[in-house]
Formats: sequence, C-alpha cells, structure tokens
Amino acid sequence: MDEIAYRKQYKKKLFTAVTVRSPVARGRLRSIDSGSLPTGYRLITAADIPGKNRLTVFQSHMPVLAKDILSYRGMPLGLLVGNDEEELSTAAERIHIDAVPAEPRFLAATPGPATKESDYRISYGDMDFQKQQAVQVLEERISTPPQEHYYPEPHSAFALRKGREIEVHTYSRWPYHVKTTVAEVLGINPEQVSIQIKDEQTVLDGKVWSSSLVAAHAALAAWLTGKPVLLRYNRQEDFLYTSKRAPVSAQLRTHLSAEGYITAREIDISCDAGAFPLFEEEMLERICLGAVGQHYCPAMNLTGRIVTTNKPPMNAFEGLGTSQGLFISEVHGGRAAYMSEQDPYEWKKRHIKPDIEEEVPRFYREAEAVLPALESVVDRSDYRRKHAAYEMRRKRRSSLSKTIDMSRGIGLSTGYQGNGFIGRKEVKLSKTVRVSMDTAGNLSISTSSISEALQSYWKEMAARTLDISPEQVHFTSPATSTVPDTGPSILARNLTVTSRLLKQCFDAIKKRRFREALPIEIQRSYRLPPKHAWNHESFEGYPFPQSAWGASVVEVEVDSISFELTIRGIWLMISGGVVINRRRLVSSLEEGIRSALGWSYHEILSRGKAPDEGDWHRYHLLPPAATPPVYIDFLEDGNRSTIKGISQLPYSTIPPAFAVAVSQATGLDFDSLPITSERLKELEESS
Amino acid sequence: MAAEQRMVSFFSPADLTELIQLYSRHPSAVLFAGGTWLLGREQKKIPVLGEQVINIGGIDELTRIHRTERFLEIGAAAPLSLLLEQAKRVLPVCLYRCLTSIGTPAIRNLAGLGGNLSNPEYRMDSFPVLFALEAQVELIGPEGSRRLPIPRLIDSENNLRLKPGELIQRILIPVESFTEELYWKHEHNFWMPETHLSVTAVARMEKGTISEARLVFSAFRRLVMRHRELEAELVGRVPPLSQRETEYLYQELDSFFQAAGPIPRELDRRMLILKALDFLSNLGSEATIPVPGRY
Amino acid sequence: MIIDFVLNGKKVRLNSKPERRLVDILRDRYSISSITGDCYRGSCGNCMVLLQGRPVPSCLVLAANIRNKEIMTLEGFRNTDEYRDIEGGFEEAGVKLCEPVKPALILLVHDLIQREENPEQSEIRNIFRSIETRCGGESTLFRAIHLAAYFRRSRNGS
Repeated sequence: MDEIAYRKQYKKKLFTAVTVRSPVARGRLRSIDSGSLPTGYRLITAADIPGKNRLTVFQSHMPVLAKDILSYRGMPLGLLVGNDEEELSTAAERIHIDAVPAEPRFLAATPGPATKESDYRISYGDMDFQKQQAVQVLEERISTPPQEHYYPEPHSAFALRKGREIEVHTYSRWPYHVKTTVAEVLGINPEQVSIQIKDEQTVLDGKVWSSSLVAAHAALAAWLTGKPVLLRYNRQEDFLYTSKRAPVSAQLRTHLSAEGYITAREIDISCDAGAFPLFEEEMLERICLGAVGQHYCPAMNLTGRIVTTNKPPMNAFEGLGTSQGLFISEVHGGRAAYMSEQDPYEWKKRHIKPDIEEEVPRFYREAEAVLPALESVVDRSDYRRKHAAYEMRRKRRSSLSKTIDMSRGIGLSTGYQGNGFIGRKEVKLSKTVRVSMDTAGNLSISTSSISEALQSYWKEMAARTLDISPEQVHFTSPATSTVPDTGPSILARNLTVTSRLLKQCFDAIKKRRFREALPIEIQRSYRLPPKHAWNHESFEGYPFPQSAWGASVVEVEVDSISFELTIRGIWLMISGGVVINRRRLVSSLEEGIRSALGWSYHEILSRGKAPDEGDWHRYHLLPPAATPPVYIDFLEDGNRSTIKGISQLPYSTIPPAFAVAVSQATGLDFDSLPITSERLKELEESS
Repeated sequence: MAAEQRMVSFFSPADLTELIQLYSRHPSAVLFAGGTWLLGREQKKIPVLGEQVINIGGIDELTRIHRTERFLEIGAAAPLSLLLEQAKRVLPVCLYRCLTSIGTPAIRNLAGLGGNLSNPEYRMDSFPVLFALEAQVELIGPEGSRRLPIPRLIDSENNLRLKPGELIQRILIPVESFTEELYWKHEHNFWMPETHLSVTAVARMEKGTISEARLVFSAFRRLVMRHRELEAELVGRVPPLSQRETEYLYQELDSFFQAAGPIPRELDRRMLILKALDFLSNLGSEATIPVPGRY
Repeated sequence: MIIDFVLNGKKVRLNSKPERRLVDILRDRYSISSITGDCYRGSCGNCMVLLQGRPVPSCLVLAANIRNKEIMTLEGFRNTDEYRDIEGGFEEAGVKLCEPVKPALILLVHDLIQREENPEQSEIRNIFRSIETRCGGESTLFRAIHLAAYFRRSRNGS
C-alpha cells in the first residue's frame, strides 16, 4: 500500500487505525478503557458496529471485533483511530483491557467440538476381507507444522467514506468477499461498497479471506469517523496474529500383503483450524484426499475432522491442504516400501498402476497420469543407482553417530495439484467474465485477476483468436465497480476456470463481430461439466475439475559429526499442460521449492501453542540461493491447448521426498517437519 | 506500561578527547556505535535506548584499521565489512571466517568488533577467536589507556571489566603466522543459543611436528573453554595422530567439557571434540581422521 | 537536533529527534516511498539505502548517525548509469521482483559488482543473506546478476 501517496493526498485529514488486541489466548472480556483520548481520537469496539459483527466464509463465521468471548491472543477487540502516529501509539499503550483469562487449548490432537460440516469420511472396499489378506501392519502418526506466509507486505487496507458509499483499497485474492464482508459489517447494501485491489505480485493464498477482516476494520473506522483511514499491520503483528498454514496430524494403519501390496488402510486425521474454522470444508477435504494419496488401496476407512484451538485462525497456504495430506501419504508410503523391502520406485509404480482384475476407483486411475513424470525424474536423477548405493551403506552401519563421514540419502515423491474447488463448491461460487469489443476493434476484458503473467497470456490468446494486435487488448481496472465477480483467485482458478470462460467469450466475439454491429459485449459464467461428479463417501467420481501432476527427487547429505544437512540435488518433473513462459514458470517453481524446503527444514514455528515473540525472533526464511541447482522440466501431457496451475507442486512433492531422503541418510524415522540438525541430534540420542 | 514523553540526552562528541570527557561525566550513558543490536532488539518505531546516549560511530580514532610490525590494530567501531575488505590479506583466516558469519553483509556495513565484544549475547562469535589469537583490547578512559588480554576483558559473571568512563578503543591482534587455522560455528539460528557451538583452532608446524596449538571452544553463547594443559601436551606430536593418541585426546576433552562446561549432551561434546581432532589429525597432511576406538 | 546531510545528491537540513530511525525520517519527511519500515531489526532488507555508498538497513541507522553523510535511496540511484546496468540485467533475465524487496536487491547487487567486477557464485549467494523474501527464483536472479555485472564491465570498458 502506498502509504506515502495517501499521506500526500489527505495530509492531516488521514487517520491511522491501530488494532487493539486480546492480551489472553482464552477468556472473557470485561471492559476496555481507553482513558482520556486526544481530541478527535476514537476507540471503536464491537458495540459500535452498525451491521453484523461477523466475517463469513461459506457457512463459517468469526467476529470482526470480539464482544465478550476471547478466543486467541491478539484477537481484535477494538480499533483506535487518530491522525498522529506517535500520539496514537502512546494512546494505545494507555488502553486498559480487563479480561478474565481461562486455560487455553492448544493441542491439535485433542478432539474438539467439530461441526457436522467439518466431519469427513471416506469408506470403501471390504475392510475385513482385505485385512485378512495382510501379513504385516504399519502403524504410525505423522504430522505437519504450521507455516507463516511472510507476504511481501503485511496486511493493510485504506478506506474512504463518500456520503452513503465507501471505497476500500486492499490486497486480496477475493475482492467480492471483501465487498460482501464490508457491506455486512456496515449494514449497508453491497452496491454502496467499492473495492480496489492492489497488485502484490506474489500474494500467497492466505489473503483469500484474511484481507477481508483488515478491510472491514478500516472500513468500519472510516464509516464511523468520516475520515479516510489507513490500517497497516507491522511485520511482527502480521506474524503473531494472522493466519498460518494449518497444521495437521494423522494416525495411519496400513495393512500389507506378503508381496508388499497395501490391502487396507485406516486413517484418522485432525486439522488444527485455530480459533475459527474458516474455509475448513475445502481444506479438510483436500487434506484427506492428499492423505489417501496416489497409492492404490482396495479398502479404506478414513475419518477427518477440524479441531478448534486457541490459536489465530488458520488458513489456506499454497495447496490448501493438499501439501499436508500428500506429505502424510508419501512419507507413509516410503516407509511401507521400506518395510516390504522393495525398491521404493518399483513399489510406487506398482501401487499407482496396479496389475489387477477388479475395478480401481477413478481417483486412483486418474493418478496414473503421474507415471511419465515419475519415470522421467527417476532417470534424470539417477535415482535407482543412488538409492541402491546409499541403501547398502545404510545397512552396513548401525547408527549415524558411529560413523565419521558424510552420509547420503535420496527420496522420491509424486503428487498432484487439483485445480479449482472440489465439485459442488465450484458450483456455489460466482465466476463471471465480461469481454467487449468497441467500434475500433479494441477489446476490453473485465475479470478480477490482476496477475500480470495471466493478463499477458490472455492478451495473446485474445489476439490470436480474434486476429488483432495484443496492443488492442485492455483490462478494466480491478475494482469491484468495474469487473464482475470471478470468485476467489486461488487454486489456479484463474488459469483454468477464467481462461476457459475468456476463451468462450473470444470465440463468441469472433463469430459475431462481422455479423453484428460493434460494440459487442459478451458475458460468460461457469457451469460444471455434466460428467463431473464426485461422491467422497463412496469414493466415486473425481473431485477436481482439472489436475496437474508432478514427481520429485531430493538428494541430501548429512554430516555425521555436526548433523548439518546439505541438499545435494533437487529434480522436479511436471506434467501440467501448456508451458507459456518457461523462464517465468521455472522462476516461480523455484520460489515454491524454496518455501517448501523452508517448511521442511528451516522455518521453525512451535506447534503446541500460538506464535509468540520468541517464534518471531527465531523465524527466518530460507534465503534465495540457499538451495542447490534445481532441475525442472515439463512433459507434454497430450493436451496442447490446456493450461493448468502447477505452482503448488513443489509444496506437495518436495517435503516428502526430502523427509524420505533424510531417513535414508540417517536411518532415523520422522513423524513431522521441520527436520533440523537439532531434531536429528535429539532423535539420534533417543534411538 | 504508560508511555510518558521520554527525554533523551543524545551526545555526539567530535573526537576521542571529547568522548572521554563526556563519558566520564555520564558513565551510565549508552554508547552507540553501529547500533545494530541496540536497534534490532527494540523493534519499536522510536527505540528506547536510555536516558543518555553517546554516539561514538563517527569518531575517527575508533574506526581506524592499522597494521604495525607487531599488531593488527582494529578500531572498535570500524565496520566489519571495512575490516573484511581492507585487511583481507592480513586478517587471520579464522577471524576472517568468523567475521563473515556475523550478521548479514548489510549489517556488517554498520556493526563493529567493539560492539560484538561488548555484547553478552553476541560476543561468542568473535571472543573465542580473539582468545585463540591471543589478542588484546586497548581500553581508554579518564585515567588514560591500558591493555587487557582478551580473556581478562570479561569477569566470571560475564560482565565487561571496565572502569567507569572506560571504553574499548582498539583490538590488537598479534601478527603471527600459523600453518593451519580453523573456525567452525554451528547454530540453527542466532535466536536459538542452545544450538550454538564453535571451535577455533590455530596451529604451527615445524618439520612435521606440532610446535604450537591453541584450541578454544564455545557453547550455548555463554561458555568459552580453553584447555591449556592439553595444548601443551600437543607440542611435539607428529600428525597424523595415532589411534591411541586420538582416543586419549577424545577422553581428555570429553572429561574437560563435562567438568568445565558443563556441556551435558554427549552429541554436543562429540561434535566439538571431533571437529578439533579432525583439525589436529589433518595438520600438514592429507590424512583422513582416524576413528576413535569407541566409535 | 539540526542535522545536515546529503540525500540523493542534494544537501538537506533536518530538524529531528536524534533517536529517530532513518527509514521513518526518509519516508515521513522526504516521501521516499521505495523503502518501508517492515521488520525493524535489519533482517528483511525492505528499508535498504546506501550510506556513504554502502548498503545498510535504514531501520538500524539513527538520525544522529547521518550528520554530514551521504544517503542514496533507490529514487536517487535510478538516475545513474550504474542503475541502468542492473536494470538491464534484470530485464534481460526476466526477473520480476516483488516491490518491497527491490531497493535491497538492486543496491546490494550494485555494491557487489562495484567491488567485484566478475562476482563468483558464492559472493552472489552471500548478498541474499541481507534480505528476507519468498519472491524470486534462484536461476533467474543469478542470471540477472551475472548480466548486470557484464553490462557494468562493458560500460567501464573492461
């Protein structure tokens, strides 16, 4: 947010808002006392909200300002507004909050009051029969930690009241969600609200609903004071009190036949949604499907639930749960292959494409599409030879600390990226695009996507279809007053859904432009293809409108004296439709790999409690160039015109490959991330 | 909690003489040089530094780097990056490696060695290295200047042994040449002191025999250990060390760390010992490290 | 406290509390928008400026420390030939930087290729330690920096 531009424009009239927060993780709010405030300053609390005190995502809600129940440390209780930053900060320190604390609940493993919607079940196959076919059982708990988004800029919003209307500027992946939230909080008609979206380049999926909370706060302050209001979190505030990637814990029990095949599997999953489960339905389903994984299993019983704790509400990170789920299934699969004393590549291949008579559910059949990427990544990385060599060395030694040299390991993992919301949710969401051509043949495109890369792709697509110059293609400014509702820009929906709708618009204009007088305006909305059906309980159909596939190999080296970890190589092979701008794509995948590795061995966030100041000091990102050269390549998947979202694939395939590699290098088993040298030492000591 | 209007007296002396006069008048004032620690820990927009602050960053006498026949003399407030660039050819390798492990390149454009030594949270970076190099600090105060060997700079409570109004002017590193030098630091990140371990080692060889060896260890950002008796015992030995010698050294250092430390975890002790043994065994040869009997 | 210093080539006189941080002074008094006060601990790089020609996090510099010093921000650096070398390298490599990290990366690259006309990989790797970001793919960043160094060498005739 260009704070300086707002200051220049509004000078002393510009008010700044500071969020007043709960000092306790759980409890009751008795009172907030601001003491005497400078003239014109105001403390806004829940009682001042003219509309509804809630933020809604699908069917779930959280209060915009806490009224009496305090659910996490840092939960917004009020907004202090004034025009001098220094005075404001002094006044904020004087605010007295009287809260009655209660014992907070942090452990995600404790089953919580799960709502009916958030329970999830998958059950198919003859469980009893399949269990009888097994000769051994692998049982373990695997969990994944939270991860901080570390957005390019912390959350911020600017709001300006214009009589009965309000204008809000913010970063968001879902502008129309900001709009409806602001309207609901202010108790006004959505037509009175206009949202302008700022371009942040890398937004990360967390700003899908969390920006709406900040925007609603700024709007509330501007509405009540009549002043232009800027609300900007500092980095520490953003770190401590905004959402993270949701941590997940799973108990798995896999039954294996004498030949090493999975015969049955029981999985119990808990996802820690923090204080308010928002977006939980999609997230839980993606986690559970990821945990089912790609390895065929004839009988499955899976239960998944959302657990609420006294942490800030958790949220989408890249992958919206798929990465957590795939980590669980891939690490568990690696262990099953090891227990069966089989080459992990062979084991994997046999489970992805089982050589059996009976019908395999479509969810697994679709996964066969990953095989070309798997074979290619195995070849490029020389996986089989290295794996065999490292395995021999591992068998020769009994413990890592009894050798004085480097010890190496290599891990293999496959994954997918499901584009678009799962089945019925995609239908519930609006997604409309509008394209018009004026009398001079200039094309104007209205969508809420502000991605420069996508815009240049659509520009080329339009120019090619309509035989016009790319310079004739323009995009309407990304404000809700000028663009239609395209829904949330996550899960590669812009790439898949919006691209498809725009193509339909361009084709329609192409047909009509010489038959009808210009200007022509075309609007298209998304409809779910009729053959698309998904029933998770019976495990029939396929959940995603579209999928991309990827396979990774990670090779590591562990210093047996210091337990320091070095990554020797990373290979990522992708089968994901048309590659438009290879260099840009590689660059964005490298960003993803770095963040995925950060989650795997560098970014430390305690999971047994809410983030605190100690976490803030300790939390650092893996610097660019901390990773070794990465070999990325793309495979043709047969469909030359399809463009797919692939940016999540590093998050879904790199962490499990890394964990399996470190397991081979050290002979230690890991049940969670991050795997730091400290962690290795602890495990070695206890082994 | 109440934030009152803070009145801060901020002094910016023009030269060393003025600084000493000011500091003797206000001996409890905060000395501000690079300020990276003082400002980095105070993450407020307007930092609270103290009631009296003396800005010493711009004082010429404190930022000079100079080499005499006997010493490399480093001004306490000379930015580390300046030191790394200007004195690259004359800096001992272990110190060079240590300095490049401090902060980030941009922070090293501000931070100096004096600040690093003065700060109990930071000093375990350079202190053990300067200890191994048998450096001295030159202190200056109202009573004139004096020199202290590095280990005497800090008392048993980990406080600086400075008189009121006294400050570090220069760090003096003897000009010596070693056959081999080692600086190795291990820590997950700065804010996890429990993960910090370091080994500094320097040695001189004459005709294939160890003529001098110094080994300094630090742990957890608070302990610094030097085993002088063992260093004396190393003199005259001929690397590569035999299995028996290695086993003996291992046991000796292990008992030392258990007693002097204490370093409770065996894996931490093992890491320090093996890094040091690796250094000793490779002195003057390409030989690989012999594995101690128990491992 | 009255403080004279040079900002982007111009002499300026500032009246400020000596303990104010440079990043806030530059933003609030001189409307320098390329930098932001983000982490206030010198680790993110979003407030990077050149102080006496060297990159420093301006959140760790006090008003009292800039007396008679030269400060250059990305705004001032943009008008130099040195900037154009780096801009050229970044454009040629197709680097699209997130706005907040721009000043840090550009000024750090400038500092590096000023000192080392043909920097090694390890030296390039080192400069990334001064920033904290999820933006930027390694291969394009490395390529951009090598190209910037090449443009600098070509312009200097070496």
